[in-house]
Amino acid sequence: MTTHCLILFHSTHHALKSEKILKGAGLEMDVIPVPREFSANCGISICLAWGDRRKAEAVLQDESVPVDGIHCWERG
Amino acid sequence: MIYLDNAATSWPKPEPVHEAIDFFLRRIGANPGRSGHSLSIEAGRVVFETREAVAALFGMRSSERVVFTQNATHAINLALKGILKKGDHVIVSSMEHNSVMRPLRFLEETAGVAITVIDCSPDGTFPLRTFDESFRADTRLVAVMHASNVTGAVMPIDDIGKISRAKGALFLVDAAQTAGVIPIGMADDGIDLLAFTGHKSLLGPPGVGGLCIGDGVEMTPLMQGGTGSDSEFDVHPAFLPDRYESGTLNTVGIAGLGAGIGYIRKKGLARIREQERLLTKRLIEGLSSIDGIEIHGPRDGDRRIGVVAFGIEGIKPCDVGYHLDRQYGIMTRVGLHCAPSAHKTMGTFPEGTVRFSVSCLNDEDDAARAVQAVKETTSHFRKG
Repeated sequence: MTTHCLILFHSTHHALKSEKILKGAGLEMDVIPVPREFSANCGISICLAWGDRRKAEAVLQDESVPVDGIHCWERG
Repeated sequence: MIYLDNAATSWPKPEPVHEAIDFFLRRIGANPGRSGHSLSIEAGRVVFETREAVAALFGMRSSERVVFTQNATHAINLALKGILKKGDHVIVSSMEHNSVMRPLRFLEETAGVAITVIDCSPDGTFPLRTFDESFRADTRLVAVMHASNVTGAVMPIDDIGKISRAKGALFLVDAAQTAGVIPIGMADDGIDLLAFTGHKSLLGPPGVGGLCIGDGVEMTPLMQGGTGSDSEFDVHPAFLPDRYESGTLNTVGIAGLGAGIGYIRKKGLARIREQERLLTKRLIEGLSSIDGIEIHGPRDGDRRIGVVAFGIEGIKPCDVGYHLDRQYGIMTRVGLHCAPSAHKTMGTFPEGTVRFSVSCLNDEDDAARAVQAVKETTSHFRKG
């Protein structure tokens, strides 16, 4: 189990917008289906290293991307 | 064959548009934003990148405010029916296409919307002073086309936008004929709502268009349905772009539209505009030498797009169009061009005109051959 940062979005558009922005900021991430334990939403979410959480949050805030939630996720 | 019906649908398309459509269908194909697997995410990226490209093309700050539709008509219906409520007043020009006039007449009948039509001069010039004086306390919206699909006349949208804003009305621009040829800046031109289609000067396939929604503009959605988001609720989401997009999008079309915009950006709007202006000039100069011809629209190349509508004394437009098609392989559009009000303004109702319309994939040889064919066609009918 490793601790990850999971970012949820209302819309696929904002998930993909964030992917582009975070990539631009040099962060590594996985775009994955939203894990069931977080939401019944059939959309996608972004998963990055827990250590990149603050940087990711700051970058997304700078670009005014609406986020549905940032969670700590123990990924198996 | 010479294709001069680009104001209806542009053809041929640039090679990258074919490639993007083929690649999407062969290699991606999946539903964007629904399933979360790799191909679904890739399909979502194609939609996202096209949305970003549209936003950049029209000088928008936020791409989430680009909503994809089937075409400009769909986008205009979304805007008009989403904004106008019972008793609202709307101002339009007499050059408008049926894509604006028919939904408005429907709203007039069903919702008591009041319509003021501003009469343009026969060459399509928009009278700003009359417009300024036509506002009422309940004027909610001004809806004007950026350029006429019949006369080619470009409307002074920056002035119309400024006046509309000062009077507190929203401004809807129908950019069906100009998106991809004339630079448009949503904020700079004071536009609140911009309707575009993908299959004309944006060089994409038919079946995709969109509505760009200005900051702070709120509308009632035209439809509700599946969005892939908020799936646990049976109430339609309120966030953009999902609020105005229900059901699976035309992803293949969107892939093609993205490639079309990419082609335009690479070539440059200024170069495209210049080329179309040159072709228009060649057509007008050449046709002007024909005895008994009447060419419609402004003479000044800055005030028109690549549309040249004309009539020849004593010969029916439909006969000219048919002869050009069958004898010379020249594709034109004759008749009323879905804009009866424009033809009444020009004095060409109900016969209409013959219309040549160019794209950036036409060349000077096409224009020269088209002019020659009209000369021969005129002689043919006059002899007969």
